[in-house]
Amino acid sequence: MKKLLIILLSLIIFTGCWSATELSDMAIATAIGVDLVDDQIIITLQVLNPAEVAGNEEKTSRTAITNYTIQGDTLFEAIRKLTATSPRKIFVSHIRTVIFGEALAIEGIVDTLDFLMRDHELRADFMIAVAREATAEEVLSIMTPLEKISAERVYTSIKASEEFWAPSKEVKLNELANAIITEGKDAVITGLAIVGDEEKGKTIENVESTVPYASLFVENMSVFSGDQLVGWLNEEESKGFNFITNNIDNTIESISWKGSDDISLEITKHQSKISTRLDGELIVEISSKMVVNIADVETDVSFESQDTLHEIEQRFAKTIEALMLASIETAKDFHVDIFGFGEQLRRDHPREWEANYKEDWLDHFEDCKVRFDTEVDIRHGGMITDPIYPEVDKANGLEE
Amino acid sequence: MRRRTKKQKQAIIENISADHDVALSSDLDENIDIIKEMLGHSSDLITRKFVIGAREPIQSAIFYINGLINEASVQHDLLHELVVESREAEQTYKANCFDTIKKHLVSIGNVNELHTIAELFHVLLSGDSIIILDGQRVALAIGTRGGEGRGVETVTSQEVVRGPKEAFTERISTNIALIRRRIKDPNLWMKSYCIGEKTQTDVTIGYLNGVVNDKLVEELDRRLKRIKIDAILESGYIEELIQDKTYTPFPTVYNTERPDAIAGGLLEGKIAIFVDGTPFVLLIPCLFEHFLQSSEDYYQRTDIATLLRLLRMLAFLLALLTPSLYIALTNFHQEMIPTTLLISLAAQREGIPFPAFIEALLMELTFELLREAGIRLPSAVGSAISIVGALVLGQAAVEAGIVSAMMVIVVSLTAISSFVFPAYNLAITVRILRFGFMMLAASLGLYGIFTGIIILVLHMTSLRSFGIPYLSPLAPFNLTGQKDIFIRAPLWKEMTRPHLISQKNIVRSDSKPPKPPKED
Repeated sequence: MKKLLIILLSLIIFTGCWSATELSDMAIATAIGVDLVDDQIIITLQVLNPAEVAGNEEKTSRTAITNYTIQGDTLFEAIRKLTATSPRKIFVSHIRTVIFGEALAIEGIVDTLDFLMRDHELRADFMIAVAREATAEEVLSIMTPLEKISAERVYTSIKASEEFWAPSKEVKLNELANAIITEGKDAVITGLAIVGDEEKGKTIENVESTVPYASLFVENMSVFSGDQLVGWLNEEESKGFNFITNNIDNTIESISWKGSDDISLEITKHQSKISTRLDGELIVEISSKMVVNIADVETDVSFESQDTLHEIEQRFAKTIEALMLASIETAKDFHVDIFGFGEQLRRDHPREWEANYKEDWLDHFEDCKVRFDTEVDIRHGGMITDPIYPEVDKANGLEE
Repeated sequence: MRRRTKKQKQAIIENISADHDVALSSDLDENIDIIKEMLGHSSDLITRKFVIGAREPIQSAIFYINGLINEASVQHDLLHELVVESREAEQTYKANCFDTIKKHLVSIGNVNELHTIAELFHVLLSGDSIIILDGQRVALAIGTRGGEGRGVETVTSQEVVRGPKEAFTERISTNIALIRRRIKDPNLWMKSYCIGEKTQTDVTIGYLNGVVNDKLVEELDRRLKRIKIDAILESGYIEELIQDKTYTPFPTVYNTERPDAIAGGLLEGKIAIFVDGTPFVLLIPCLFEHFLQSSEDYYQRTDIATLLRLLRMLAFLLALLTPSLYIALTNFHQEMIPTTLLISLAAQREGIPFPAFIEALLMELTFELLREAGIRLPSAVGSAISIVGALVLGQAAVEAGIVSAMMVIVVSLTAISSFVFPAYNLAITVRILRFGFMMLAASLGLYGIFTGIIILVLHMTSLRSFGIPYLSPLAPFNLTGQKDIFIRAPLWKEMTRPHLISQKNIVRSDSKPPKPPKED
């Protein structure tokens, strides 16, 4: 009985003494922006104003987010320093995005990565992005419609576009760190750009008009050599990258039939695999299989014959292969192996990798031959079989 | 025969007790005096002197307690016969008078001979009528028990959608009859005890001979005989005096007012304890699983019953842990809450003056108060409580910003879950433990909760109900027993009685699964 009493008493007395934090005593941070200005690290921390985001009270005209900017030697120091500015303890577990300014990315991101991986408060499920031709602070300052929290906006739009738009790819902490560390593989990070009037985009007016003055745009991919930014892929190359690395869920691609880009096909299933062969020389084989639907036809073609369908499949395969090739060429120009060919080679032929390739892999990468084996299978033609264009032309009296 | 003096009589009265009995006197008036004196001349003791027979009249007297007897039967079957009919009969009654009276005059089934004063009082106060004759040292007890009592009504505490609705009553004979009506087997044996020095309460144990473990009957017999107490007013007294462990939040004796639940228990090899004066009949041994089962489980289809059982187990966890999990998550483990939910919680907690633990404690306390008040209030003003509870405390507290809306949801969820259990006493257990878990959560977070759960499980495994491990058949594990714990297997699959409770005659059913007839 006495023991029980002591336990009970201590439970009551110690209540709330042991590292407990009330929700109302913490500021929930949703995004970290890291910039390099004049060799000083500038941290931008996006902090929520929860009552403006949720809750049933009347919304005021205050913004849902507040950005704190502070200068520091390291990320951790800067975050702790912020407590002086912010009225509450900064809580970083719910960081949704970490954005690197382009200037910092060029210098190297590894210093910040260490903190992001080491700190126990952080969950590793945030999205990482690079601001293109902007600082992270500018990106985080844009007021975004629909999502009140711009960090959440970045997170969801990268996620959505990764699924439905080929050039995008979500990069999370562990993947990025792996890509930087792994031999025979280099990192890519999604880009973010500001489109429109940046100054007006920071004000609440931005979300008060139907057409925002400035908005965030999920860019193509940035290419890293080690932890340093070396260049950007364009849209075609980004697509090619995703086709090679088996990162396509659903996307649209067009082929030219009679005019240019007049048949669009929707890829609903995609599977690709990289393998390496050593036949005197290094050959990388990329085999991919995809299932497509006919999505949009803007020319006169009849799908009744199997031959036509085969022809479309063939041409579509060629188009995809061209995308992949363009992407590989660019990577060779940048002197980075973002596809992980080297890693694949190490797995397939570990002994040869150790002996011949490990030391100067990137030179071998530039010389390697790539073979494609692409299978395309048209499954559905949509709700109509033949295109309506010829009929419309007839009706318009444009019959040939 | 010399009459005893007043002083002697006084001495007799003072000395009579259960241990020290005194034989009846052969003098009629002396007996009457002693009986009246011992009852303090109570006004509800009816004494009537009369004469039996015309030829050789015998002075005699009848006693009964007003209100305890069946008025009609005393008047018609007893007094009329004794006073009127005996005069017209040819017989004489002097010689061998009791036999003659029994044979010719009393048309009531249950007649016993009594020899001592203590015996006499026991049956008199139970509602029997007593006849004493002048010159005889023996009294006759005539079974005229009756009087007003509640009839069989519908159950109030363990209602079901499908299944019998009748409940036990306060009268032990009715209750036993309700069981006899369900199990028409000569092996249903009853054994009676009289417990309570002042209340002399009838306690009857019932069991299925041949199914029940004999050692269990012996053990219960020992425990019942050990009871030395002045009063047994309800079966709770018996429960507390025979249970294995007092200082535990968990009940180890089952109680119910459903005759079908008791019958079901008897068929599993358990023992029922009927106590006169209460509609709640006890059932031992009682394992933890019983509290999460309803007798309706066996009346509904097996899939429905299984689903409901799983739901009840979920409700048990919810009722036990919801507030503590809320406290632990919002105070210690904010990183475990999905971001959007956290934002919404944080928004609600803006401006709340209390820490989450105090807030939870306040609301839980309020709810407990409401619940207790709701039970005690006369039903006419009962609805006032729900208005005050729902509107004033719930809505107003949230609008005033004193508690967060989420806390109201948490407390309501807890409350609803705690009403899911078919057994009220487990709900109380959960109520007690919930506060402990809240403290653990507030001081140590999830770590505290899990420590608490470990301690709780250890405690539960250490419990025994009449020698049977409380958590069996889960711990110790028994595979065949699993057919009736989380799931309720089809009846044709539940072939054996519970493993540890009944080791004799374990086969319950030999049915084959139902099949449509084969077509030719």
